[in-house]
Amino acid sequence: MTDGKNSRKFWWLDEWQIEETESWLSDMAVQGWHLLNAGKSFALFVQGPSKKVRYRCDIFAPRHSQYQERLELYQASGWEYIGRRGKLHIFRAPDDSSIPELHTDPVEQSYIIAGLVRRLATNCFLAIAGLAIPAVILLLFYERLLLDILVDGNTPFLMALPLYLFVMFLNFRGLILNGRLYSRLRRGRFPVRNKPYQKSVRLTKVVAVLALIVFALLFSERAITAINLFTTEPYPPVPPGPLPVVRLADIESGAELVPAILPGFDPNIVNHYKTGRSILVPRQWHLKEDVSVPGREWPSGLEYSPSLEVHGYQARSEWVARQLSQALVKIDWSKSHPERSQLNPEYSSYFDALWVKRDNHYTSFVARKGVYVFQLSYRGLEPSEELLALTEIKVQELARK
Amino acid sequence: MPRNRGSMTEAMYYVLLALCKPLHGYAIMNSVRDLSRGRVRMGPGTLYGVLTRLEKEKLIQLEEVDGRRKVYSITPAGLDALREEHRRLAAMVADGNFLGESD
Repeated sequence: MTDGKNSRKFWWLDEWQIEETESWLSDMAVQGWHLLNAGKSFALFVQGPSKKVRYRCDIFAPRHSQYQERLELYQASGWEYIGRRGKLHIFRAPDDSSIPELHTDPVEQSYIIAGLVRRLATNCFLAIAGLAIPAVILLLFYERLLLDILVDGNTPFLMALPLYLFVMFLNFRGLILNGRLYSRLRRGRFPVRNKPYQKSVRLTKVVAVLALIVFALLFSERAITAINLFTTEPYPPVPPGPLPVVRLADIESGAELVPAILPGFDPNIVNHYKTGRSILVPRQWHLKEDVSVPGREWPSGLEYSPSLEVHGYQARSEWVARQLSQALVKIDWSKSHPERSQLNPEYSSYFDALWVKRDNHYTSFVARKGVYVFQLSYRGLEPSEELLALTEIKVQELARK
Repeated sequence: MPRNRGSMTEAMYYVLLALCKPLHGYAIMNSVRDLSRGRVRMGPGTLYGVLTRLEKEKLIQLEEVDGRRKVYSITPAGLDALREEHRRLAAMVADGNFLGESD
């Protein structure tokens, strides 16, 4: 069996799918492909004549003191040792009744499977704990988690999730399959021979491809964000003309606005306009303006210098927009002013949700209409109602596009 | 002792029976076949599963290492367990003796 051509096949069956693995290898032998070596991820086959052979898998630790003697006895009993995947050792024997089965007592074999079931149950428990503990810690101590996921696209924690869930799926399926095998053996019945494995392989492929697609999406999102961070200007200047968000020129219409400059800093540090995107919030705008208006004064007599900061978001769905607006309110307001996390519909009936806080010459609000969310902070002489009316116009313009 | 509903499995019983005389793996398989007059042909996987468990439960012990081959023998606890199982089986057979008489 060593002069034919070789073929490497990925193990789509888990190492704990014992009955399915035996069936697959026996089917491959009927098709003329005989297992030459069992690697961790790939099985190496050599082509030869079609043969009806039995493959059997047994579980034992390779470092056990009986290991060598055990392999020798298996071979002396007519079972050729092919290789192993972890603790799963693979043997082959001709389809000949003079060679006894590796396991002739199902109840005795059930003790071995019980050990595997315990191991898989422990893995499942650790997998759940491994997921739940960081999630709880993040939820309890990292308030911006939801905002990071929605606005920044993802976190490394989220990026690892699809691959982690795939491994969990394999473990849970292994637990269920071996739980069934254990019950079967305890009832004195032998493992199923020629067990169909095609459906199981298909399911693994579908789940693996899905996990990879989600991972690739999250990874590319992160990569694009990282590239943008290095390639784009940190503080792009505010362009002239209308913007998707309210700007000071809309509020202080007609007045001459002179951008403020902080000596020693980037000239655009207090006047810039950026756009962004994420999977859940594909359009994002951020405007920061700080100007002075020559010829106009604050009531105190000082030169009038209004400032504005707006975050605008267009979410993928209304549900996402709802989560986003609530997260913005919770993070920015709830702690310092719990009473201000209440909705304030009295300011405008246009928005689906509106939270407003207003002090002397200062207005801040979070407003949501459909998939649009705006967070605005303004220091100036114009009233809140004016800012909300202008935001309403922006939402209508965006919705029309 | 992990036994099948309190009793020993057939494989356990015959391995303990065979190990009343110190033996290595392959010899145990042959001895089991001889003791059962060819009725029980124990697979090597079953044999090593039983040996591992019996050693862990201290019903057998490693007598000596002859090259790579390990020689096992029954312990006093193993002998007690075997005798108890024999008594139980004998009582069961005796209880069903009338079945043979009616043939």
